[in-house]
Amino acid sequence: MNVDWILSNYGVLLPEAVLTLFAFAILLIGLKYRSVLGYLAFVGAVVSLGLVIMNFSVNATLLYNSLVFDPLSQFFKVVFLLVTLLTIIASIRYYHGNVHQGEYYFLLLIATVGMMFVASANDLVSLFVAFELGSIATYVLAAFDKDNPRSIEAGFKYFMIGALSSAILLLGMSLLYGITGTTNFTALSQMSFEMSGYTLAALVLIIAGLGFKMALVPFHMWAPDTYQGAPTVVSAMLAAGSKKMGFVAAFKLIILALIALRTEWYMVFAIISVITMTYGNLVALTQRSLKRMLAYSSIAQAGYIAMAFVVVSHTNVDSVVNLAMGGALFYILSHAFMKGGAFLAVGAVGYMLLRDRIKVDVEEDDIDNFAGLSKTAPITAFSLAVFLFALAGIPLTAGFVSKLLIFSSAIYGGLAWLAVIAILNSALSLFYYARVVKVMYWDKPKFVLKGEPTAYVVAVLLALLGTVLLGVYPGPFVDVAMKVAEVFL
Amino acid sequence: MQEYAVLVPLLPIFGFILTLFLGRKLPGQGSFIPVLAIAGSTIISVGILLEIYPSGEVIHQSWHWFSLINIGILIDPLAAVMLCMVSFVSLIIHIYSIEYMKGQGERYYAETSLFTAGMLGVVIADNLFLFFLSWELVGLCSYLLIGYWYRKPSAASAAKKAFLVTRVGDVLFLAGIFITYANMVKFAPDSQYPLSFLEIFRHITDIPPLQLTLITLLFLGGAAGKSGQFPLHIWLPDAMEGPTTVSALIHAATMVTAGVYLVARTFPMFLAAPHSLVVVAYLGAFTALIAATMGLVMNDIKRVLAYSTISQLGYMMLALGSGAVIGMAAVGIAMLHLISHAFFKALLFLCSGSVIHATHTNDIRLMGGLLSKMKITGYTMLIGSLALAGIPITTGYYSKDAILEAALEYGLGSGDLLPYLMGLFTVLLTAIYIFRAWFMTFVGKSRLPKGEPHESPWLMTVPLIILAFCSLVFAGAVNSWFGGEIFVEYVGRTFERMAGTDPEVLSLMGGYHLMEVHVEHSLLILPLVLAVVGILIAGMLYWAKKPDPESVVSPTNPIYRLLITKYYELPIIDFISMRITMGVAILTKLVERIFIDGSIWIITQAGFLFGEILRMAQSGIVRHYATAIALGTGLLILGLWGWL
Amino acid sequence: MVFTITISSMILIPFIGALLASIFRGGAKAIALVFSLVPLVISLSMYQQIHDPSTLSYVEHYGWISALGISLKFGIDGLSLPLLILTGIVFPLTIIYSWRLPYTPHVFYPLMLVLESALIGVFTALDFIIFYIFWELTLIPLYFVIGMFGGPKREHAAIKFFIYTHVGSLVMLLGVFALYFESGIGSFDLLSLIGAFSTLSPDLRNIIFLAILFGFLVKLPSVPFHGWLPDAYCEAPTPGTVVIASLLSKMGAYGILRISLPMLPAVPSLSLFVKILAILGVVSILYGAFLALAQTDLKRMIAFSSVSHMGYVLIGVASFSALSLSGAMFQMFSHGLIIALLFMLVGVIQSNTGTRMIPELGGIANKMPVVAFLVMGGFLASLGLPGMSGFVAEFLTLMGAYPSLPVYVLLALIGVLITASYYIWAMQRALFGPYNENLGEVKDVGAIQMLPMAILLGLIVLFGLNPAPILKLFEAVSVMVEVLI
Repeated sequence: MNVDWILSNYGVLLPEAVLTLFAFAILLIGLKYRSVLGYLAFVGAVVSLGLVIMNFSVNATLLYNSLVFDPLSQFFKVVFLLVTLLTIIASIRYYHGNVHQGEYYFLLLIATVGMMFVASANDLVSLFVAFELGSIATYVLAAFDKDNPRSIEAGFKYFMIGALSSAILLLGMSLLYGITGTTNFTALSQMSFEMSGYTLAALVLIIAGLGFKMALVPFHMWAPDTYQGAPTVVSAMLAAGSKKMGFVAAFKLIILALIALRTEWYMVFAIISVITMTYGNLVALTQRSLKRMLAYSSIAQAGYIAMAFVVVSHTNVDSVVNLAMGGALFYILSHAFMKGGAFLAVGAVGYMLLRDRIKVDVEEDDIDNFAGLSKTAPITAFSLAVFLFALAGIPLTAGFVSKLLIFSSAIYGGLAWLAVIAILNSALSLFYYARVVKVMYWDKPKFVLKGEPTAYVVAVLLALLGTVLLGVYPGPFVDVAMKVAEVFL
Repeated sequence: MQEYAVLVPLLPIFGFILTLFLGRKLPGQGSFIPVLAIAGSTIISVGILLEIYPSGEVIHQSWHWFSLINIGILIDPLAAVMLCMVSFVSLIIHIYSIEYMKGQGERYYAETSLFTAGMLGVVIADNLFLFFLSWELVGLCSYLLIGYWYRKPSAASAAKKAFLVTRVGDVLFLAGIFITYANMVKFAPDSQYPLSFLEIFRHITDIPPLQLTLITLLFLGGAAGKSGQFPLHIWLPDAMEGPTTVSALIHAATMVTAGVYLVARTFPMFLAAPHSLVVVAYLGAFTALIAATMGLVMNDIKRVLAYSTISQLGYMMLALGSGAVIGMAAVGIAMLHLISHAFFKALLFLCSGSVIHATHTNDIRLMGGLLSKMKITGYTMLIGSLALAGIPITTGYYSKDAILEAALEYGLGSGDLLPYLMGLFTVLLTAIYIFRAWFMTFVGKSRLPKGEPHESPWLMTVPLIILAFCSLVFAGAVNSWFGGEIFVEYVGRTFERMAGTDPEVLSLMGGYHLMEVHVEHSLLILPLVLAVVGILIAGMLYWAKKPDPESVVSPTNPIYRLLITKYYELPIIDFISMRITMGVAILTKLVERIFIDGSIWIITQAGFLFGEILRMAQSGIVRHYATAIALGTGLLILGLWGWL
Repeated sequence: MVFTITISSMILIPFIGALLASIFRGGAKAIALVFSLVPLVISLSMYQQIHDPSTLSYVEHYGWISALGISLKFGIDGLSLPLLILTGIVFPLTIIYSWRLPYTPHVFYPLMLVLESALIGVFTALDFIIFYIFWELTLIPLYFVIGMFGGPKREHAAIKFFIYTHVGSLVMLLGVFALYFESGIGSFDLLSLIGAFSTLSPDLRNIIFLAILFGFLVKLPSVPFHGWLPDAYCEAPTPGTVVIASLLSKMGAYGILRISLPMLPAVPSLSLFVKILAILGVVSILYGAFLALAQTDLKRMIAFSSVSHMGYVLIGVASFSALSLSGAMFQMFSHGLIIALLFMLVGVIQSNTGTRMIPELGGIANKMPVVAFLVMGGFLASLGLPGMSGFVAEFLTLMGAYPSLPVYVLLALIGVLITASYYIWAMQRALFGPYNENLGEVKDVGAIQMLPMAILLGLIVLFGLNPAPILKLFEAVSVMVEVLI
């Protein structure tokens, strides 16, 4: 069997293959030359991203239809790789000279590979395996700063809850298999279920298992602690990337495979999404730690995205479904930029404090440390301001268009009440976002910083570019999202 | 001359602008500029009057302004005579001011010039909008000039009072204008400029009479504000805080007569409005009487004159009111007295100004025996007082008697003599209060604490003499001596050349019975008798000092107290302004605090509270998190199970 | 390339100016002044060339989000053009006024220019989403202006202003969504949507109308939705206050006239809503006036007077008469000039005397005659003295409204009276009487700050004596509206 044959049949796997290759290469080279690792990882991610984009509109299945490669999977792979890229760029500075950075980048890339496989999974088994691959790597990453107890704690909690959730997810999946006798999504989607306690249990358990990754209330509680404790670059990765792994899994497993159970999970998601967004915003109001605040904000955002489930399950009008899912996808893309960027900006500040040996009697990411940031670190401050306004849904940012799509889809689907709740929430959220901007822009600086770290600046500016581009010139991207969303019709 | 008609108000406006911006650099603060400008207006006005008098024609020029408002001038006999009076008196007073206000700043001359422009505008406006605009302009100037010495708190507050009280009238007037418009669009939709007087007159008969009553009464409210009719007269006495020339020009001769002019201007509407003229008559008579009573006890010479002005304006209203019986002639009679009053009251004020100039006080109790030192002032003021009291051959005699005759005819015609009697009794009081002032000022021995008063310079005395001359001959000359009531005839016919103003038709609408009433001539002597009696009483009390006035006008005397407190004016005003208005204001402030701000506060606090509470759930203990997940999952399953 | 008069250039140029001003910090002021003048020039040349103010001209159309039928569509007519001119007048004057004020130039002036761009966008957008985007964009620069340069309670004021008006806008957005999806025309084009409004089911029409109206009422603001106003007006730096009061409030009025009014006839419970509008109008007029009467802080007093004056717009809308409507529109224009002058004056008084509390002032006419003169001018204009633009507006509004809403008009006249009393009262207390020596040595306003105020007063008188040039545009539109009704 020659290369052509492999390429022609398994060529769609190239991005994952390349990334894996780079991962192991890094592990080896890391033993000798540490300084190049970051750039190596960067190249790997770029190449992989290029390959994904190259055959974006592919449509293939592999390994007895357990993996599927369609615009949906490619779309998510793009998101994952973009987030990974941002993380890598920032990490180049953050882990500069760290002895273990070989392992770090390895885990980062492997986690990405896992997520990418989740995006392609079309079978309970392949999904679960990829899911675990993507998760376990991140558990380690969360605990990577092992001389920082908070990081350890973060990783530990994350791992405990993760393990529990995996168990729940697995239980749900096995129940599902028990009921249907198949593990393949395509097959599942043709099933018709007779309503029974098992079906319900299976459904709810699966939602709970994935809800953990999506950080939906009440499966969210690990998120604030982990996002706060983990190295900020990792938090960025978790919030912007790994969370989306949960969403793609949920889209595939619940919306595509279990569409027959629509009426059941309508109720579940209606409750969950409302509680999630409201809870996230209310608690975020009183946070002092910015990373924690962002964690709650990203819980709230998950609530908004989860509206898509509600809409889709409430109606089966194609145009509505398309708008809702397109909106959700667009939201996921822009959230990758907004939230990733926000975390990186916060991380940049933490890094600068560390670098300039500034002793602060509060947490490094405490809001007080951001006083007057516009004077001491203008670029970071400006970008963070934009990210926050974007998260609040202010026009000309990606956040506005995302909310525009998803909220309007709710009204389109005849769920005005949901849209009202969501809109009140986003008004509420404005409060804590605006407060941070206020602190950065019209409070007096407490200390001087010696310039902004290039790597961070580059990463943040890339995220900024994405956020603004999606906000100012959304047309083509919306079209792509809608096109991708046609998978759900 | 008519082609220059527009210049009549424009010249003083140029005068205003030049004086305001160049005055500081020119000699005498450029006081000569307004004099020249107004002289120009006077010449044009007189020229126009001479032109249109023979034919009794009406000049009307109009241009489009904006939306349905036109800008135009209407000069009928009524306006023509008013124009001449306003420009002439204003000219005289400006000349007087050159000396009197020397070194007081060019602003004064600029503002008086602007005032004159506004007043002339009021006179020749051909529509309600322009009329109201000029009306407010003169109000503004009055405000500025009353407060001319704004460092004096009393002046500042007097200005405020004047503005606000007249504002009440203006708002009523506005309402009247709105209702006029509403009726015009309803009943005369085709008219292009529904606010133009001619349009309105043309369509009076289309408008329901009761609507007209409403409109005219609101107009009357406006007139009451400007012309100090009861109960809106309260601002006028305080207005004396301004320079005396201002009192003479604005608060005696011209502006305060604008209200009377308004009623005269829209007289056809009044004639067609049931009950309105009766109200006018009563309001006028009552104001005349009550103001005269207050004039009796004032010690500030200018305030005596102020109350006298109010009282005389009341007479003019009474004259207009009697139109309910005598018809359009009422306009002529009112205008006759308006003009002659302008002369003698301006004269009286300028005299008092000359006295104040010499003695540096307003208080007649500190004067006395000035006649020897200030002959011209003393005698001219005597002429003015005689005119005011209505002693024969003075202008006041003819004009006031005309009014009382009209009032009597009204009384006989309508069978309601009360207005006439009030007017009659006022004659007595008038004679008393003005001669009380004159005697206390000019005869007896000087009570001046210090200073040696002396006659004012010629720039001030010449105007006195001119005005004294007018006060002697005006009414007689134009209306009595040369056969027939020329003036009243001429002005009374002012509406004849306008469409839709046939007195018969209108009075029929208004339910008034115009008639020729035969008056017993012996009755016409009554006013003269009362006037003479009044002068004698004043003389006995304040010249011969027997009985001693102190015995009568002592603070123990309840009537005196009633009068000196101006019928408890202050407490009443205070109640309205502070208790009611401010009360509401404070109330709204509370509402704002409690409901508007309060609601916002509650919402925000609630948000934070919930946030804090929910935050408790985040214990940081993994066991709890796991429990939450388990609980959540379980509840969801159960809930779903129950729901299905 | 040859420069053509387009709306997009009018929107973009101030924005470009903002970028330049933030880059070339030295010349920030000059750049700001020049670029802020461009929209005035453009709008005036449009005024020159506009043929039929009753229809849209200079229409531009570009794609934005084709999937939802959102497109960048702009155009002007007799309703928006005067507001553009007003914007073009107020911004340069505000910038001149701020010339010597201690605001970091490379931060302050860019914010002002961005604000100008956003406002022009609001007044010209013909697509609902684009309209909303610019509508919201005005908040950001103001949030910074208030927060960075404002008074002691600025943080509270800024956030309150930001969130309160944001909520209003979001409710409006909901209404727009509903309208868009229910009508199913697949485009957010403003006029098409308004046209499609009548096709919806009755109760839906009521809800949508209310939702959209709410957003405008908050911005106007109309009692009882004015909670954000006092603090925002009083804590903002003078230039910020000027812009909010003079232009931001006009956004609400503009929205009502451009969007709500054409919808009104199609509203099922029409008579009810008309009554509501009229009541809100009168209540705003009276409530604002009485509140102003109760204030001792000059700035607060003027702030509430603004509430009172914007009430006329609602009266005009409720009256359904072309005359009253054109009056209400003219009120927008004239109030824009007057309130700008007033707040500038308060700013000068505060900076020169150190206080703006009426009781602490007194007799300042002795020391600052120019300021006193301008204050009198402004106050008299604001209390509706004939010969000033305010009077024309209020006169036409009330007179035109009388035939249909007599009672409300008579009540509004009480407001006129109260307005006169608080202004006159304030003048007597603050300007006249003996000089309050506690103020120490105060100096009169400098030439640079006097210039914009003098220009404003001049314009107020000019348009008071000859309102036709602006009024005729409004009349053309309002006649159309009346026909439509």
